Amino acid sequence: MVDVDKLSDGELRTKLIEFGFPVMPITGTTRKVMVRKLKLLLENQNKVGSSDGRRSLGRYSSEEDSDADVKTTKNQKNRRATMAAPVSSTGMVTRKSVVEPVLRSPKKQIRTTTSTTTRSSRIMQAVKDDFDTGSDSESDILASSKSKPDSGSNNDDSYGDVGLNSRSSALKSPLSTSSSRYTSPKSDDFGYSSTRDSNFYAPPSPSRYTSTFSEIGGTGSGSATYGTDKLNQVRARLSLGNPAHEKPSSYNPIPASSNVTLTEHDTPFLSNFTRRLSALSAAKKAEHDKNDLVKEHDSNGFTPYTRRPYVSKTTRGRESIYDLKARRDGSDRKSNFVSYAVLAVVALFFIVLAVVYLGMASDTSVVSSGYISPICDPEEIESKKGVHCLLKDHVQSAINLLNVLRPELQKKSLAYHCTDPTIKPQMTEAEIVKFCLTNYAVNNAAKIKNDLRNLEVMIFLNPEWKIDVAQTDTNEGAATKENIVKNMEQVLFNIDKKVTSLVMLHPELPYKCVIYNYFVSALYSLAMLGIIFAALFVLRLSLKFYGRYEQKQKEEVNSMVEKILDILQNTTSEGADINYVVINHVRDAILNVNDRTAKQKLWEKAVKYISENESRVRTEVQSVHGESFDVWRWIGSANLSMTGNSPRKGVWQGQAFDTDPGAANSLTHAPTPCLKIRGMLEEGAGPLAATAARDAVLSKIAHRCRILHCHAEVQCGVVYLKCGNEDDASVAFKNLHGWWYSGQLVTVKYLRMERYQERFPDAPSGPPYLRSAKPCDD
Amino acid sequence: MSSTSQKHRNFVVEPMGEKPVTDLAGIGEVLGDRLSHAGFDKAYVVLGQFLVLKKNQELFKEWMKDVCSANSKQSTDCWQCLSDWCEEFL
Repeated sequence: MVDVDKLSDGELRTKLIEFGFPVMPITGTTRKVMVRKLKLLLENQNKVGSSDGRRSLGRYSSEEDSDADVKTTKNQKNRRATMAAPVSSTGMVTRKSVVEPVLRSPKKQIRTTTSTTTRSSRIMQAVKDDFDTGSDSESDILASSKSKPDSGSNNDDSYGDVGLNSRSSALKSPLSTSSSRYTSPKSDDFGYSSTRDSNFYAPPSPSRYTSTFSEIGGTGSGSATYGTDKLNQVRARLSLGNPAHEKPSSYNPIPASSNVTLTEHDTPFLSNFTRRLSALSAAKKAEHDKNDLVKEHDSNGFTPYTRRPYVSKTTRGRESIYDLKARRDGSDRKSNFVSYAVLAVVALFFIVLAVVYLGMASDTSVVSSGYISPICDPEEIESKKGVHCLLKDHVQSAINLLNVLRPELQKKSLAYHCTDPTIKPQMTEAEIVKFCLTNYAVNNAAKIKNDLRNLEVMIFLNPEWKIDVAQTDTNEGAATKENIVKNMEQVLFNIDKKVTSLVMLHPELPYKCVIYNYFVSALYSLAMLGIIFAALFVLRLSLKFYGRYEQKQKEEVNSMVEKILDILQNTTSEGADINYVVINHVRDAILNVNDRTAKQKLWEKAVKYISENESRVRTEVQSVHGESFDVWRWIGSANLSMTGNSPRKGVWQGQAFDTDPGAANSLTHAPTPCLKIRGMLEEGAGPLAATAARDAVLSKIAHRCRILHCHAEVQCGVVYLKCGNEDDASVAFKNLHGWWYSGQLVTVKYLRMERYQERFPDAPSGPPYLRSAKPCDD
Repeated sequence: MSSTSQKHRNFVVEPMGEKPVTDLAGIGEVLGDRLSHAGFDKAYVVLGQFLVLKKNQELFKEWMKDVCSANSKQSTDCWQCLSDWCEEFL
């Protein structure tokens, strides 16, 4: 044992802390005590044999934990073994024998396991490679590039296993991983079965596994074998520099042979073809090594087509569950693709058609036929000519004019709708005449005007031209729907007062323009919506802010009112003669010099609140130092707020009932000079309280009567009192019985002299009488 | 608990000021002499020790026994006295 006496102060302290002893300063004066304590503790420890302090306890528990860990891993391993057993017991045995010599460090183990978990995809590839001898490398890359998510998820799942394995002994873990190498039932742990494709490779039940195996025949088992071989190779490669793998030649052939035994055991009717196949694959291993390595690193992504070459080749002339399923899968995808393609083509066709149609729709700028031309009957009344009908030879010239004007109108309308709203869409008669005169070799303005009138007549009859006649008061601004004239009579009626013009209100707009217009209008409405929402948001925000401001204001007013009441109560309880306070003084007491003007409003609110809602304060006018001020007078009780909280201690608070001699509650005269006072002490109170109670009794009665002895008993909470004679006892009784003391009612009883003497044999029977230091006057 | 001694009450009612160590309850002439020799001449020095030991009764009694060979009653009285005083004035 360490010599405790020679420990330094610090060491001593840490030792004591180790024993869970409270930390104390180790000084020259305390050191000795502490050393002794420590010695005592050490002795106790040895005696009881509970040498496990807190620290060692912790160590133990951790050991137990690790024990449990080992157990669980053992269990896991057992579970695996038993679950893997139905697949093939011989296979298991051989595998064990293979793997057991492989001792790895936990770190290496992790890597190896990771590589095993990517197996499913690799098996697929392996099998595929097996058959795709002549396949181009591109498909290989495709296949490999798609197998990552699967393997990735496997990796994720397997990390838990890896952790377990690394914790357990290195000998066990390779076994567990290797036993999972074949797609045995518990490969569910790895999440293989979560993907559809790997379902086949990892059948959920052993029976299904074997049956599938046999049904597939040699191909499946061969592929498995090959996959395993490849796996081993990859493992060997991955754990290069690992002593266990320094001789891959001696390592690899064994699993291969064991696998062969396995396959033979499982599928006794293996065909020669399969055997040859596996031999072939073994021969080809070398050249695939490189490929695999690349795949392992580069692969990311998974495709349903990965398996297709394999499927198409393995199903030759064989109908098995797997084959059916696989074929269905493949054909599903294929037909899906075809249908999607057809759908896409159809959609494309219709889109193209629509585009073409829309593009073709309006190219009717030149009108040559298909119009209604009202030819006047020569027998009809003359006046109708030029209003409802035309002369035959005028029609053609009107159509010519129309063909001239139409593109121009279209152009103008387009410009108005799309590019520049300031351009007017209409052409007035004067403009038309001018246009014709400048652009065409026509010199007769009157003829043009005449043709124009005829054209207008025709326009009313041919709405499909989409040209309207509009009449506006001035030539300012664009002609709108309201300006459209219904018939020729109206035109002629207003022809002198208004400006007559031709307009194309709904021109064929180009898509760009339409889209642009839509976009602009959408933007506009969006902007409007945005503004509305912004306005709403601002409104809400301001409401919220206002509410908060109100709340804050209210709180401030409340606190101010409280402060004012405090001040008023204090002035009253101070016992000064003046129990009112000048209002302005209160304000100056509460508010800083800086705040006074800023918080004027608040103060006014507080004053208003007090005058309206505080019944204990009266506002009145008093003259203070010759000046009249508004003052507050506190008319509530001074300690109203205090009594609610806790009774004042050690104070006589007044009489509860009358105790004059002869009253109902007291005897006419005292039988003994000894008294027993209850209610002043709580039972079990400290000696201080006893002293205080004794002092209180003395201060209450010592100046009114003669007291010989007074003692406060803490245990029963009673104060005993011995007075000079019976009269004194009567006075004391009167002044104590039925009084409130510290919020408790005091009761007094007379006690027989003998009992008192028994209890206090040393109580004096004569002077001096006790006196109180501070007599109480009530 | 029996009623406290007069000495105890006298000590507890007021601040200790410069009171000698013998004013502590449980410490008479003899113990006071021994304590003075050990450097604990005033009550407040003992109070200091009392506080350094974190008002621990066991340790304080041990210390008393060690420094002035006080018996159990004496040291308990002294501890009680200081404890009460602290309750009132600290």
